[in-house]
Amino acid sequence: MSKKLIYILSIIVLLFLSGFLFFNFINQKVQTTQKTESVITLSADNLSKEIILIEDLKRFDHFIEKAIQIKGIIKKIESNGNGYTVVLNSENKKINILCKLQVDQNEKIGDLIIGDTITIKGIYKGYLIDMILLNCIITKH
Amino acid sequence: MKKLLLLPFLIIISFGFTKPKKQYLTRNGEVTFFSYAAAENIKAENNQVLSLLDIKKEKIAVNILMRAFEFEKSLMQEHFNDSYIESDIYPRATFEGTILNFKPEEKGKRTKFIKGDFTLRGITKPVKLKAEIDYDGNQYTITGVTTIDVKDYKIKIPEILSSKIAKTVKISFNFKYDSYEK
Repeated sequence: MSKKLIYILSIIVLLFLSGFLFFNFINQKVQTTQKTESVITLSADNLSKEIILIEDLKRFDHFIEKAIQIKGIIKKIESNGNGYTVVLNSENKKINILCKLQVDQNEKIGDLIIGDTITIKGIYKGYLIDMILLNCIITKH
Repeated sequence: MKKLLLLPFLIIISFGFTKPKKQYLTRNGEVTFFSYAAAENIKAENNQVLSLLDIKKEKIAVNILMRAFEFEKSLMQEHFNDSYIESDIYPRATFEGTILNFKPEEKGKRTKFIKGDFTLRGITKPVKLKAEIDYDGNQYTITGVTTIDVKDYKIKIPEILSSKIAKTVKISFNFKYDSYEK
């Protein structure tokens, strides 16, 4: 095989590989929460003692886009889009945590009952009047 | 006998003139946006939108956490938050408006105009949008579609992509309100 042919073939392989990697990179799906380590575990009861005003939730801003675990009581389950949002709150009902479940958790929704205590892991997105977590998975029930 | 004569009036009062509560709230309002792009359409959904409907004042307020928009692809989500919306600097979008010619007690579906101010990336623009309002005697539902111009809110699209991405974004909303007691 001539040097020229090896050179051309190497360029083709290289172009193909980089194209493949680029395609995979731009089409990467949002990572599932199962694969993400949580940076902190909180409980709705402790949060309700710490949070007096909505603005106090600002102190959790450094957890934005990170996985956190929260233990709380199920207040409400709402269906929306192609999934469910579980609303957790504390014993004194002072603070709400909205957890939009990851679609692969839909099958577990039938096991959840209002008033149950559960632990959820999800990606913290910030707050409006409640803490908001997306891509949540049920870690303990 | 007098009591019997009063009965039909009491029934009319209790069923015909039940006034809606003053305020209605949703924490799970849906807002989706859609933008045509040459390579791939951009679509995202947010199911955690907060909205308050004040029947007495005929006003509606909406608060959207920008990071709560969900995309199918992580790179799109990253670009949306970091480059286009700059969610760290402008974490929320808001709308405050008045429902024109609103008759809160009227049951069933009707089309109304809502006039107000929409704030995105710290820029406030007046908007007037058409919405369908449905009241079943218990819950209000407000749905509609509107469009916004990306240049109105100074959304920076890289020059290389500007010819491939639509200049307007279609926004759909669906709010189901429950009565709210402070």
